[in-house]
Amino acid sequence: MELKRTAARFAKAKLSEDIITRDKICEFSRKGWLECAKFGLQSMVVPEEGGGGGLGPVDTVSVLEGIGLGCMDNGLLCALSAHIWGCVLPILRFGTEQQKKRYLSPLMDGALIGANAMTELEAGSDVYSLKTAAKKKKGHFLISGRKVFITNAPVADIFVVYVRTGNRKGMAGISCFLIEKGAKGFFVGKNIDKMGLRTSTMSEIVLDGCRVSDENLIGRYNSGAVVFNESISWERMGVAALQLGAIERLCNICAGYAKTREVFGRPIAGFKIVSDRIRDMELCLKKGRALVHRAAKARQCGRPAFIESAKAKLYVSESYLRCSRQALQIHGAYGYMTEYGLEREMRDAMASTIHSGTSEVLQEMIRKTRKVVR
Amino acid sequence: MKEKIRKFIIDNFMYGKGKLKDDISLFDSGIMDSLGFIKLLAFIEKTFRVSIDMSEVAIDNFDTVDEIVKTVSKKKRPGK
Repeated sequence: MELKRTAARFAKAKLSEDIITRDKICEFSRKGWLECAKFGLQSMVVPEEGGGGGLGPVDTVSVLEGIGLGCMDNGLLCALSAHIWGCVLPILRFGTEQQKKRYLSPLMDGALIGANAMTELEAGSDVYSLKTAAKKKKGHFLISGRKVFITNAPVADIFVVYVRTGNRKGMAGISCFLIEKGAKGFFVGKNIDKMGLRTSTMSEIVLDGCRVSDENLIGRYNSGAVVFNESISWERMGVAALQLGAIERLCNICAGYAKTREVFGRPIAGFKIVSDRIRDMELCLKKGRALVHRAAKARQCGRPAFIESAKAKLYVSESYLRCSRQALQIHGAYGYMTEYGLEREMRDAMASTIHSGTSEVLQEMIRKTRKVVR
Repeated sequence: MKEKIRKFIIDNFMYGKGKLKDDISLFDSGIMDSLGFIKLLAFIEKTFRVSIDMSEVAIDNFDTVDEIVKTVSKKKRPGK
């Protein structure tokens, strides 16, 4: 609890500055990013001997819940998630000693921003149908292809890129590479305007015969899918924890508003329809918390918690969207106004049911693996 | 061990029907996808009481029944 409270206090004080204006102009907060690094967010999962916070999964989700509770800049949190789970974690878990030595420190202290490039035009939900391919040469690879909807790409310094290596189909023929911004044949597109999470940046990247050394391979050759599975599983648990915090924030805002806002001479909290809405939000919070902590505990026991994380992400993201809608409705016309921040919350919540696995993909995955105990 | 693994694959990924050669690629033939892979790892850990660290996993070591048996046998050996 103390970790969550400390994180919430920090996030409330440092991470929501000018959010309405920055949301309008799609501005990423470099200042907020550096504050997060100073607080230790980018390094929390790195062991203490590697210069990080050494937090286990249970403590990690507590911190993230607190951050989600205190921070109204959901775009910044989206950028952080892409950085931590999509870039820091793969290097930490699968990187060579040389890669760790070179990249982890600047990725932890905020100097470098990481991105993760998996999605392609025809490989979104069907992630392993990648077309971007690498040709193996002596001592290096030549990579060509196009990646789309890459969070952080316009501001990122280092990219974890998944490509097809060899002629095998599906997950068997994929490898994972680290590519630095500015590499020859590597191009980053312009920031894309989007409905929500507008303070996080996103663009496509194009690889045109991009030359990458053998030393840039993360994990084993043709085993990039293992890296991706591990990364996305952590990411789902992490984003669900952040969204739990956001749901709690919405509960608090609504409970406070319902006590002070009066109609027909009494606070709206006294109307059953309003109190039912708030109770529904609180129930979502409790159920979601149980799922997120179940996934974290499974990880703490050394299990990959692939399905537990998928369940947590599915339930919490759908609940976040539902609760943001409830919160807006409870506030009536005020909720519809930009100034109150609830319409932004609803736009951001919509994105949460799409990124890191759409709700449909997660439902299908859970259905298929009902008997999995892992 | 081989029989248990083969039965698990046939029951879970082949609707309990058909024959499975020990050297056929499970990934290339479309028998096993990413979810199947997770399911297989869970089965191996539970059935053969071994612990699999994801950072050590190479997909090629789980590509055929023969390779899976070889990988699990290595894991079960004392000191491994």
